Amino acid sequence: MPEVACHLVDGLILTIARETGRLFDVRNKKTYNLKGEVLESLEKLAAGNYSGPALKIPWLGETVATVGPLQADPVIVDSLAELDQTYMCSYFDGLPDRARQAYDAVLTAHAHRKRFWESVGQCPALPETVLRRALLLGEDPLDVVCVGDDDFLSVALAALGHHVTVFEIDELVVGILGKVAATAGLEIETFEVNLRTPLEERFVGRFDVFVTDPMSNRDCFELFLSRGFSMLRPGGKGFTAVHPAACRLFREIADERKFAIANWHRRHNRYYGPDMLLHEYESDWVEVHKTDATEPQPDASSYSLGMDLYTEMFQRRPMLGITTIEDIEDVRFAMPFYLEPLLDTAVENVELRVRTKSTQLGLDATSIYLSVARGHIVLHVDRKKRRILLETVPHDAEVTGVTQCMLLAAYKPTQIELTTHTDRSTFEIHVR
Amino acid sequence: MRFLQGTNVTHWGHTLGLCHPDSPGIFVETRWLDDLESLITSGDEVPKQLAVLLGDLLAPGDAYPVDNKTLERMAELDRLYLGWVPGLWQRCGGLITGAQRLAASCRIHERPRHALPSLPASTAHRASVIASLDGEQILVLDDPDGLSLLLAQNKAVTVVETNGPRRRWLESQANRCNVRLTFVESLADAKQADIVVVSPSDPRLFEACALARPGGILVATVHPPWGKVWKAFATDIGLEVFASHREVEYVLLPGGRVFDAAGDLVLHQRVGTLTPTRPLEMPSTYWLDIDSPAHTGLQNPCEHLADALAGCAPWPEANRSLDRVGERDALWWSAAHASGLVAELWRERQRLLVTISPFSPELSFAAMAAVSLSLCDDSTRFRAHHGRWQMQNLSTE
Repeated sequence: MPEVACHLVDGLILTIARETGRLFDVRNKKTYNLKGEVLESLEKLAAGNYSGPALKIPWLGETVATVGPLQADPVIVDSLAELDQTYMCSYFDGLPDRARQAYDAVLTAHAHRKRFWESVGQCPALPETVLRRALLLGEDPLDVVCVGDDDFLSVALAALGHHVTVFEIDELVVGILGKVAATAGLEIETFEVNLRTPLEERFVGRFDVFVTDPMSNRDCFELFLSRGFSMLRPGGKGFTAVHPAACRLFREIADERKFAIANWHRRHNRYYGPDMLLHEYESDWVEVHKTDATEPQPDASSYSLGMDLYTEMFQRRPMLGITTIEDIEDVRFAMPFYLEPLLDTAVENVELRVRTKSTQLGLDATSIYLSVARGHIVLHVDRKKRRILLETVPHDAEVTGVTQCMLLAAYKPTQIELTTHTDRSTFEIHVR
Repeated sequence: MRFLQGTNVTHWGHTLGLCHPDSPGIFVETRWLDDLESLITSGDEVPKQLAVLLGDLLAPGDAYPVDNKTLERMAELDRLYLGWVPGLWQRCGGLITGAQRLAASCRIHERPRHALPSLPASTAHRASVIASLDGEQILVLDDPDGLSLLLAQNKAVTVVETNGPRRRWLESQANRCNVRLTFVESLADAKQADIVVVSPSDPRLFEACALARPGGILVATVHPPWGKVWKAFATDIGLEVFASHREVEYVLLPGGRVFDAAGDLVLHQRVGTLTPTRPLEMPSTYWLDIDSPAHTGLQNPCEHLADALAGCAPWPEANRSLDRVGERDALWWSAAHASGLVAELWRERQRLLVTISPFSPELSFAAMAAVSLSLCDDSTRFRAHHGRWQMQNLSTE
C-alpha cells in the first residue's frame, strides 16, 4: 500500500476501550480482539488519517485499508437502513420530503463513523431515532445547541432549517460533522470541547433549545444538564435522554435543580452497537423547561468535579444463568428422592450455604428451590416433557458447571448438542 | 346513589381484582360479580359486607357508559408510549379516540386467554395497518381490546368468541357504534377469510392459520418471549413475513400501567398449502426485569407481591417461601403442579427480577399484574428486553 491517505475498508468497524480494541466485520459477523500498537494505526485508518506503510493484519486474511479519503461506508448504510426500516415503516411514507432528506443526511453521517470509544460509552442512536428527535422541535427555525453529538442530531436539525451549534469531545465526530455539513450544504458550528471545563461567557444564555444524551447517572446528568440550561435563554427548553431505570433519579434532580419536566416520551430512543445490530440499551426522551428558579450545578463558570460520568444504572443487575436439558433419558429417576441429594451434593461441592429449601412435587413435575446468600437456584424437572431447567441467580460458572455435569451424567449421558448464548444479562446453555 | 367510579375489575377466575389508579389493588370473592356489575352500570344498593370491602372506591355520582378517570389515564398512557410516533395521531386520531373510549367502557375484564390487552393507541395502530391491507373478510381469534369493533367500520369482521362477558361487551359496543360483528363460538364454525388475526400463545394456531385463504394474510401480535419460536413456527408451516412493525404493541396491565417490553406486529402471507408441523414450542423460561420498584421500604415487600400473585395467579397457591438477606428479599411462589416463579428484590439497587421457569403465559401475565398492583408507581418501569430475534435484522437471521 503506498503512503497516501487511506481509510478502513467497507464493513469493518473499530471499537477502542482503554488498552484494547475490537474489530467488527459487519459483512460476515465476525469480531476480532485487538491490543498493542496496531490499535493506534487502526484508529487513524478508521478516521481516514492513515498514511503510513502498508498495514498488515495477518489473521484477518485480507487488507484492511483502502486508498482515498474517508467516505460513507455502504455496508453501514445498508445495515442501518434495514434496522431503521422496521421502526419507520409505521410512519416514513407520510413524512414530507424535507424530513426524508434529513434522514438521508443523518444516515450518511452515521456511515462515516468507523470508530467507537467504549470507554466513554459511545453508543449512537439509530438514524431513525435521530430524525424523530429533530421532528419534535417543530418547523419554526430555532437556535439549538447540541451538548454532545454522538448521534449526529445536528445534521437532522440543520437539514430541517434550525441554526445548530455543537459541543463535542470526539474529534472524529467533529470532523465527520464538518465534512457531511459541507457536502450537504448545511451550516453547523462545531466546537471540540470537554464539557467539564467552564463555558465561555459568549455561549451563556444564547440558545432557544438544548439537546443532549448523557449517561444515566447523577454526575453525568448534572454536568450535561447544567451546561445545557446555562446556555439557554430565559424560558428556553431542553431535550434529554433518560434511561428508564433512572426515572426516579431524574425526577429527584429536577426537583433539586428546579427545572420543569414538560413532556416524557417513553422508549423514544433506540440505539445500535458497532456490530450494526440493535443495542439492548434504550432510553426515554424528556422535554425539560428552564424556569426562573432553575439552578444549573455546576454553574457555567465552574469546572465539573463529577467522577462517575460513564457508568450506567441499567447495568446494575446480576446475570441470570439458565440451563435447559431436553429429552432426558430416564424420567423414572427424575423424582425428588433422587433430585434432592443430587442438588445437595452439587451445592456442597461448591461450598454454598443454603438458607432455605423448598420442594414442590406435582404429578408430572418437580421444583426444588434453594435460597442462598446472594440469590437462588431453581431446579425444575418436567417428566412429561422430559425436560430439566436449572436457573441460577446470579449466574455462577462453578455452580452451573458442577450441577450441570451431575445432571447430564444422571439424565442425559448421551448428549447430542450443547449450545451456549450469552449477553449482558443472561448466560444460557441448551442441551439437546 | 353511589357508583364504582374510576375502578376496573378483573375476573381472575377464583378472585375479582379491583384496581383504582389512586388506591392499592384489592381482591374480593367472585360471588360479588353481579353486585359489582350493578354498581358500575346502575349504582344499585350495596350489600353491607361489600360496601365495607370497597370503602372509598364507592362514590356518589351518575352512571356513564365511559369512565372518565379511565379515559384520562388511557389518553395519558397513549401519549407517553406512542405520542411521539410521527403522524400517528394525524393518521389514526379517530381510531385512537375510539380505542380509548372502548378501553374506558370495559370495566369488567376477564383474565386474558391468549391475546393480551393492548394500549388503545397500539390497538388503533394495528387496526389502521390491517384496514390498509387487501381483503374484506377478517377473522379475529381473540379480542380483548375491541380491535374487531374498529375494523368493522369498513370491513366484514368475524370474531371467535364464546358466550361470556367479553362477547356481551363486544355486542353492546357494536350496537352503540352501529357496526355489525359476526360471532362464531369455535374455529370449526368459521369460514376462510382474507385476513386472520392471531396470537402465538393460542393453542388453535395452526387451524387458525389454515383459515387464511391461499394468498391471504396472517397478522400476529408477537410479544416477548415468543419471537424466536414464532419465527420458527411460521417458517415451518409456510408463512412468509412481508412486514414487521417493531415494538408497537404495548400491553395494558390492571392498575392502568403498561408493560414496557412491547411486542411486534408481524404480517405474513400464506403463499400456498400450509404444512402441518409440530405445535408451537413454548419458550422454556422467561423473566421480568423491573427497575425502580415502589414500596420497597415496607416491612416485607415480597409478601405484598405474593398476596397479589395469589389473587391473580391461574392456579391456587401451594407453596410460598420468603427470605431476606441484607438488601435482598426473595420470594418463591409455586402451584401444586410445581409451576411457579422466583422474585428477587434488591432494595438498594432498586431492581426486581421475576423469573418464571418453566414459562407459562398465564403465570407470566399474572406476575406482571401482581407487580403492577403491589410494587409499582409512576417511576417503576418494566424493562424491555429484546428477544434474540428482535436484535437481528429480519432478513439476515
